[in-house]
Amino acid sequence: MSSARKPINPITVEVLRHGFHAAADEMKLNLMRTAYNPIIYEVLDFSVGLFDDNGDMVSQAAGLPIFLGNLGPSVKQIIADIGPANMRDGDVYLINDTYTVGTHLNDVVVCTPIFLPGETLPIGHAASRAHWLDIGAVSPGGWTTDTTEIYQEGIRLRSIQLYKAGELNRDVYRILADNVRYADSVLGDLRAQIAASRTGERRYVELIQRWGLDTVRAAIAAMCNAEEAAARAAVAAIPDGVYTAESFMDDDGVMLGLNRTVKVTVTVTGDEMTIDLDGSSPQVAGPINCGWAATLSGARIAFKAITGPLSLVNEGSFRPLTLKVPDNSMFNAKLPAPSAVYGLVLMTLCDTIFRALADALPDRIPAAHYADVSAIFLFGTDPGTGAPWLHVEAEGGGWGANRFRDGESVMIAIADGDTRNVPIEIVEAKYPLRIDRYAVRPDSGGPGRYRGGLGHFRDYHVLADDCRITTTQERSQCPPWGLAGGGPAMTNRVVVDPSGSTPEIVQKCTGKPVGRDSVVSCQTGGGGGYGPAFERPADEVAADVMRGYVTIEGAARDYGVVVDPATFAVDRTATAALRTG
Amino acid sequence: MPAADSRVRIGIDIGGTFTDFVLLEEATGRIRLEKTSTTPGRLTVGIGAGLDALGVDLADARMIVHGTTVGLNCFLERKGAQTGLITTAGFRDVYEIGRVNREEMYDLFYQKPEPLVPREHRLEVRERMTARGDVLQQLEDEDVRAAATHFRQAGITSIAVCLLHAYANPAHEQRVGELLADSYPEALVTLSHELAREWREYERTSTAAINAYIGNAVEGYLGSVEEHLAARGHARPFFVNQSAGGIISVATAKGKPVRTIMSGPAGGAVSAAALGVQAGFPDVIAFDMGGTSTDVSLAIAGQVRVTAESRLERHPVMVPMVDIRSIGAGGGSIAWLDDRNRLDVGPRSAGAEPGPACYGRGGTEPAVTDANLVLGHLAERPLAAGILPDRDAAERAIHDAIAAPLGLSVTEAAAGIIDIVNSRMAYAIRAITVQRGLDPAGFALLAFGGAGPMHGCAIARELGIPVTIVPVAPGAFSALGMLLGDVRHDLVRTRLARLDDVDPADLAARFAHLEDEGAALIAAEAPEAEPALERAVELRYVGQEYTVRVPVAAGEIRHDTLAAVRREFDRLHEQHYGHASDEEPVELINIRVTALGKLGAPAFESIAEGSAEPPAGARIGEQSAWFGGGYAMTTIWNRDALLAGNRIDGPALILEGGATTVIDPGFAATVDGIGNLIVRQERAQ
Repeated sequence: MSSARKPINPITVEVLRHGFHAAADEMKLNLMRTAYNPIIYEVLDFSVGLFDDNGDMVSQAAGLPIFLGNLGPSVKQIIADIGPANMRDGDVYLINDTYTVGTHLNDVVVCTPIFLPGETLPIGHAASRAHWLDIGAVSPGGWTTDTTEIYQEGIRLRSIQLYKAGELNRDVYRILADNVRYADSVLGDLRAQIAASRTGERRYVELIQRWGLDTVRAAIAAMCNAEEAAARAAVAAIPDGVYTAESFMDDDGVMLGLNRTVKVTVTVTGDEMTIDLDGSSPQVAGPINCGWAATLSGARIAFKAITGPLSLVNEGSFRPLTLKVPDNSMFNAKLPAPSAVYGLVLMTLCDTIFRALADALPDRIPAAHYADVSAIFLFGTDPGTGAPWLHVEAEGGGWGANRFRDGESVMIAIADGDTRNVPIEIVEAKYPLRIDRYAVRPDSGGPGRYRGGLGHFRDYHVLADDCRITTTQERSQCPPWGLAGGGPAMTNRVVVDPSGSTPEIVQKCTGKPVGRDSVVSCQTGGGGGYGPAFERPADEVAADVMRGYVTIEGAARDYGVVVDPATFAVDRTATAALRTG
Repeated sequence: MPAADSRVRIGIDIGGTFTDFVLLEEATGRIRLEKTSTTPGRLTVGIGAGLDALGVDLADARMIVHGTTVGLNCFLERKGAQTGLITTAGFRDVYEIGRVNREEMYDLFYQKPEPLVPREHRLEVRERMTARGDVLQQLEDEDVRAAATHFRQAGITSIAVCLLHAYANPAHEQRVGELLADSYPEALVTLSHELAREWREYERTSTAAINAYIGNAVEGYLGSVEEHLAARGHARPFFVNQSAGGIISVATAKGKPVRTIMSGPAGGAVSAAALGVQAGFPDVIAFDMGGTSTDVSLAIAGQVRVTAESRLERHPVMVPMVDIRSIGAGGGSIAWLDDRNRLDVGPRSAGAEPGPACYGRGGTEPAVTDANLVLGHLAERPLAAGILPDRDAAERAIHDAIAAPLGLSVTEAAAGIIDIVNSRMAYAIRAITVQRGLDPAGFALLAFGGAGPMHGCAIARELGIPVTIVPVAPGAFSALGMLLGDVRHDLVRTRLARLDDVDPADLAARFAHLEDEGAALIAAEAPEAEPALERAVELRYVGQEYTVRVPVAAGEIRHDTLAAVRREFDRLHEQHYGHASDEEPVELINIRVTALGKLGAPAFESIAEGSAEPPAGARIGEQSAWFGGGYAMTTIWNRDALLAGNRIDGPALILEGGATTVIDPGFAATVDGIGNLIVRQERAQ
């Protein structure tokens, strides 16, 4: 067949699509099966992908949405810094530089160029980004809430060559080994990342040898064009207009008591969408600043969720989107801005974009969610072994209700996707911690015709003498909002010793000491409600009370429904009085 | 007492549409097949009809093995019992919270798997174990009694129990079981540690909940089959095919129904392993392509590959199952274009009614079978059901739904449908081989199920698999597997220790304990079986989470045994993941014993010998068929007339009741001594 003039066979495109998808999945499996830290193998705080010779995404495995949009920029930065002609088969490059790739320093990208046998220029790249348990910040694990310069947040790596044509650069390795905590396990994770890259390289080369480079390139172009067309159609279906919304962060961690504005203007014109962050806070003193590339990821998550959540993701998916960020913005971190907890603003950014479009797309936008991964780090010295330990968790919370049903309870935030909790039985076997309670948090969901999802209680009981905690629990002052008359939800917080004589509420802290037998209760927020709470049928409210999702008091206060505490029957008369009163 | 040589084994495999019966004469290896319609609601009626048709005296049946989908369907249709759950105080929501992840990460409407037990029936009891299995807080008996009262009043008939760290010390779960037996004896009780002795509380809870949920249905059903068989004179206990391959007594199956959830597909995997050994190919990929779905699995050195954990509709199941990849596409699957004109196949199927368009029974959407017919991969002769396939109807369906919108010819569109199906099969096989560090070229492909033999050559070529085997009666091959399995129990204990610190005597004692337990199970279930015990440990580098299973040889355990285990671990880690480090410390996680009761695989019946040239009359025609780029004249053969040693060069179609084997150009088939077609690629096409 003379394929030169004919467009690529759509069947070949599908076969290759399955092939690239399988290759990325295999990379993911390889990384999680050989990693050393639960943040990778249980929590799955990583992302893997294959890229073409320009650094454009070919295929990525499901994982962290926040890593999807900005793995490509990392690969492109390495290509720009090194130059394809200087790359050799067997090279391994590292990058974590906030100001070019957007994320905090703990997220280290391992990227390897892919070569066909005998060729001198790479035909593509395999890359993974994984959260390193430590990167040498001022406090164990990083995630500092009060740093004022990036130099306090760990080692910065930009396009650093770890392997040259298969040969390890021992100097670089030594620097890493001597400057990160828990180096044995962190470097074990690095080895797993390299192995995942090697797997991706092999599959990529096999596909190209089987189908030919031209066919593969044509297939990638066809896949991108198809996603672009679908995304354009979805944008075109949104009424043209200028949509705005505003929300705020509690503080930047350093200038306490000062809220930080997140302002979004979404302009839809035909099949194009522009998201403009003008009016959001300028760069701030504390570490909630976010690099431009990560901001782009956040905007892309929201765009994808609106335009085609269940279809493929590739470069074409985002062609109709333009992002505008002012030069001086907390969404555009510049040297030496601190960025250790860069992800916090992105979850709020997503919800704010959704809020802007809520009236235009009432069937597709839920109320706000708890909007923080409510990360908690506990660390110290194991009294049994004398070894240093660090436990990290991303906590689930409530999601917003929507026009059709209640929100989901205790689910991971928008920026994280296939991110999991750590099983209690594993936490207790590995760390000097006991978990006293893991339960949904009653009344935490925003009231509404459809109730917001609930947050949780997860209570860590400390069994070490020198334990310290680092945590971020944002959005306590701008609670997850409801839509269409639904109410706001309860907010995120940590309570130290909740049933002691002096319970202490913590929103953000770095390395705060907690004594042996302290209880650190992580209490996540809920999702906003949808529609007026008084329109929720009284029997549904009573069922929530019977199940313990809503308290007797909450039912009366929020829903105007009086429920008998013994039988859970609705007192119709008292309810009518409350609801009409 | 019947003579030993008249002994038979009977396999009964109930599927959604048909029930397959296989009768095997132990002395001769002769096989007889029957098929009846499945009778939903009154499944024993269909079983009775099949046994009548076989005309067998059940007094002669040494063994009856049953493959059942009752448990799986009960779960899939959510028709299980009113189920309750008992957990450690503070943790009843573990089951609802799950792992908090969102698999569809951009979906703002994502919903987690819904628990099988609503919150009001998840009750907490005060008790606590530590991770080391020490009692931190004693169980409060009164909490259990109060739960029993609640469950009885609420009409709960089945109760799952999952307490924290029960994998390390099950004493409290056992005590809960005793108290429930005392205060609510009618209820069915599932204790998590009896199903899984491994950590991860959510996964263990989910497993116990599924077991409890399907318990009443499976117990009732197996009881009725037991009664039915007893009434027909079968005095012995019968066996149930289990998800991990191998069989378990009906008593075990009633108590642990979750172990039967993949009962049917596991039969095909076991058949493939046994036949592979007999045919001289101990490493096989089982490729079972039916009407609506396809299952692929592996056997290595004659052993079916088993995985410790899987999922059903996102619900975790922590019991061993044959490592099966299921693809929602088979011969009856519909080809369609999505909203962006992308071609896909399945999971919707034309089923038996109306069937593919070529059946002429009202189907208008193109199925995989239609594409095969258009390409000439099906003979234009009456099908099993007596239907003459209607080629015009198939062409029309493909033209209207696929070819016209894509601007392709009907042949190109049909070839595209087959390419999509074959590539999905190939990727699924890749997932269970390459992703586990295994090269498919080192295996034989065993193609069976109604549609498997039609696609075998193409898939073998795609993956570089040198040999494809098509067994006799490929459509009933899964049922046959039930007669070849051993009685099997998998026993596991979590034991966390540095490998360097493991005392060989202590490890030997732990193995001995598990082996005694396994041997006792085998002796109780199948006293005449020859017991065999296999030992393994699960190891990882210190700090890693996922483990690699390493076999431990029988006999004494010494320090050098452990050193050999360590070396084997490094080798396997390198093989699976591409890297290993013999300097890194290694830790032990789990100790495993597989207890087998070997019932002796009977030899298959030999067929008559012939020469390379097939006998006159075996060739029954020819037709034009499409193979990757052009049409070729293709010979047609009657499989029943072929003799051992016969050779047929592709392109060819070999027909038998219910299946067609396609031999692509460049491939040749030879018939082996028991009637298998052994297909090899001899030259590039």
